[in-house]
Amino acid sequence: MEKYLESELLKRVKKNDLRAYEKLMEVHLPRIKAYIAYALPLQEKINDLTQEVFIFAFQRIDDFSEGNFGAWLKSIARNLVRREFTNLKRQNYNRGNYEKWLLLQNEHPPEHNDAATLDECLAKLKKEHFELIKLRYQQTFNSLEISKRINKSHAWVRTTLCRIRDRLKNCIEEIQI
Amino acid sequence: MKKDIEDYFEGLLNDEQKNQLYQQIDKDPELKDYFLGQLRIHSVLNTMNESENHRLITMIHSALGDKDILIEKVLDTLGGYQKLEKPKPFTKIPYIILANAAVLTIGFIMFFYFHTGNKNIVAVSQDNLLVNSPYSLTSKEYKDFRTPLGVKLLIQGPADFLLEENNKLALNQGRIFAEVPPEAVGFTVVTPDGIIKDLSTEFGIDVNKNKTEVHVVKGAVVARLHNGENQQISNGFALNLSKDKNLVAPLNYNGSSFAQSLPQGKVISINFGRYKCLGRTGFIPAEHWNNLNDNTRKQTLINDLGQITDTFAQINNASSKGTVEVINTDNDTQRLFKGRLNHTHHLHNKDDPVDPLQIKIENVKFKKYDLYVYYWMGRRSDNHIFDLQVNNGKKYRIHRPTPDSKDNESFFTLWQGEGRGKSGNTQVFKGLSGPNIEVKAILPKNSNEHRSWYICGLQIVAIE
Repeated sequence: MEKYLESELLKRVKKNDLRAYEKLMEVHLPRIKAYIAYALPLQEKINDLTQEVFIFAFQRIDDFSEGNFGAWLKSIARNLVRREFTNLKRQNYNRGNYEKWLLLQNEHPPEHNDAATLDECLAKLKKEHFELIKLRYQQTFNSLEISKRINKSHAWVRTTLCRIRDRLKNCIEEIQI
Repeated sequence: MKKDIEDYFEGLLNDEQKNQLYQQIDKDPELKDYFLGQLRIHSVLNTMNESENHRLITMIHSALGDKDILIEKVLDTLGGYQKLEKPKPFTKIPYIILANAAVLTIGFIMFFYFHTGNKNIVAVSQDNLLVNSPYSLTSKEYKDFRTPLGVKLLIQGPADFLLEENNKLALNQGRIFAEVPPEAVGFTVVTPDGIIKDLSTEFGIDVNKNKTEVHVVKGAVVARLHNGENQQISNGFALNLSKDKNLVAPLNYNGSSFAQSLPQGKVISINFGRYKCLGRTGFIPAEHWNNLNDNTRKQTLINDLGQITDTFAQINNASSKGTVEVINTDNDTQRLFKGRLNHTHHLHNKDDPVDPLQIKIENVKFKKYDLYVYYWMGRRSDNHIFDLQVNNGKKYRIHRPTPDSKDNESFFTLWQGEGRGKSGNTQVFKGLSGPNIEVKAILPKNSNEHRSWYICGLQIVAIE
């Protein structure tokens, strides 16, 4: 979004214009949500935290004067993720809830990730792999359904999905460095 | 390992397999990093669903919108639901604003969809993942869903429901059966009468006018009225919640009355006498059959493994074995179940065995249904005959040329590509009941004419 347009929208948001805020959300929500999803990959938390970021930002929009609105949202998201992480740690999840337990073995959620770079990394994928990701995550087919659609073995689809995710992870980490 | 990780993400691993995976991860720090990386990217990629993001924007928008009107509607709809909301301690925003926001979010959707008469069914993802969107099922309709945390739900219409949060379902009406895995303990169902919270269990809930019935099949749940009165019940027990009567009362347990799986039939055996099931034989779900072009209709070849071998007929899910496809149509409540068994029985020589062709189907869940048997007869002679019998009942003599019938439009459409005219027809067996069906096609004794005929389709149409 052009900076001029964004600042015009922000002026309207400060006058309590929800439509203008919706326009801003359309641009920033996917990235903020992706940021949260990477830092705290717990499905039940991602939507809640994303909502909280945007509700908080709207309520505190007067605190934002100038600068990068996206970065401001991200700082809110980072704080919320840290708070949630600390709360979860206090709850002492045991191994019965393995994913949480595993995530909470770290001291902090990852600090320097930026899932916004995902687009850049997706663009680097082979066309065939990009299509596979779209089938799996945009069209939400499972691996068996995908294997039938693209006439590949089920094992190939599952293994390739893992490889692609690995490449994306490496790509995101390289860009951040 | 990679396959296991994908299966894990798709929720296909059972508890034992999950534990094995966890043990492998625990032993190997590199594997742990690898798994966490996969988990993070999988989680990020899951956010690519644009419609989900749009819905989220709508919810935030509504949460920030006209609070007063919506709060009234929410409270009216959900009773004391807002008491469940926990404070959000991080922000300096007064708790009440955030709590209201959450309630408003839910309220907006509940109000808009449950009270404006919008009964459109919202499409679910291919793997039946229930997303944060209102759903409606019509009468006689069943659907199975899973929640993001892996709760399996079988919902029977008429039903209106909404997954409010990843582990919370609002059920305005309908019958559900829920299987809650350990990861989703605490799964909560909010009904107009009260709140049912899972304590690791399987249970059925029936919400209809002015009451909510809860039947616990396994484990335990806590059920409570919106006014706070609550009771814990365990497996083999049931209770009734009634907002109007302000009552939590015991009820006769009837957990088995809840459908725990989709109604389905299964072809369990096909007896061809000495002949193997080869060539133009096999089962193809009806909707895929319709994707075949004329050419492939003629050439569909299915091998012993149930795979289509003809390169022109790469059809998804085609199989000559396994479970007959269940089709829950959205609007046509009469046609809940449909499938075709495409089968040949060629006997060209006088001395060929005359064993009857038998098709057995089990697990038919409908109380009453009609069975349509589609057949085709060779056209070398008009003297072909055979007897068709269902469940050892009356035998129907089938002969060529087959009678004309307006009822057989779909059948003739199916076979028009072969130009076989009056070779095929449909025999309907009306008003059948019971879980098992046995179809026999019998060659009468002393029949020495050309004996070539197919049972090329079976269709079960539910009546009730």
